Amino acid sequence: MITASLCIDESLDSPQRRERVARRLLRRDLVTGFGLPDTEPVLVRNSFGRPSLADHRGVHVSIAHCTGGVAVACADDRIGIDLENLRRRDRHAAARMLGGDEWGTVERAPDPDREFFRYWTLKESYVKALGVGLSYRVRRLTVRIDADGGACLDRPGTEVWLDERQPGFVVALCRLRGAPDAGRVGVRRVRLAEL
Amino acid sequence: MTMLGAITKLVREYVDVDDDQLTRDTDPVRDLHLNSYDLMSIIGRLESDLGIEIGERDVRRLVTLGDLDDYIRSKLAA
Repeated sequence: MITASLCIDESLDSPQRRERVARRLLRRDLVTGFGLPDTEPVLVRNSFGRPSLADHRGVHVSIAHCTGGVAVACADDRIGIDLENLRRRDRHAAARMLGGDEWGTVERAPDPDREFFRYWTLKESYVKALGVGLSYRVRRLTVRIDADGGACLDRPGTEVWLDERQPGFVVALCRLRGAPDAGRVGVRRVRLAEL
Repeated sequence: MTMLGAITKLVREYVDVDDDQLTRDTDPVRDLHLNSYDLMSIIGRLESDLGIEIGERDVRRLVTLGDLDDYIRSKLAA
């Protein structure tokens, strides 16, 4: 079981506001998707900042935010979600993140900035699912992205999904599989007014 | 300019914050809400500008701007 929700709104310009919306999205998904009590989720964080539910260790959560957007994911396996604004790529970040042929793939792509953020969010979603933060050497991860937007990582038992339906944003989701294949997973759009 | 001054100047390119809010004790994640991409960009920029390498394992220990200041100065002195 996986739920993933995305809220895009120009009012989400401050970290504090995004945090409040993230908690409302989480609460909603935990109630509707996992049947948890309709109460404010209590989050604890590991030393790398990875959040988990204090009272429901069997349900894993992940939160991502960027200017104007918040995304959350909940699952019964370890899960990571990343959300980025589509913008000009930073060559310094690219040098630390892209490995093997990936640099050339990004540079040769019709839209190199979009291609870069596809790689970035996919790798970041995996790192967030692991819960190890920036200490993971992401250059060693190999990402493959198909022409139809399907993606995979060179890590057994890992499922990843890209979602680029929201103009100006890239979302990636990663599940470290313990349960049967989840098939195609979609990120549900939630309007701020619904929360 | 001190190394800490150079670091805070760089950080201000990524977050709209007054200079006096950036101290040795500032945690870029907790206090400034920078995300992984911002941090990776800043670290990569420092590596490039200063000609040093900041390993992933070391990054975990660099919690505050003061930690980063100490780390870079020790690297440059080595």
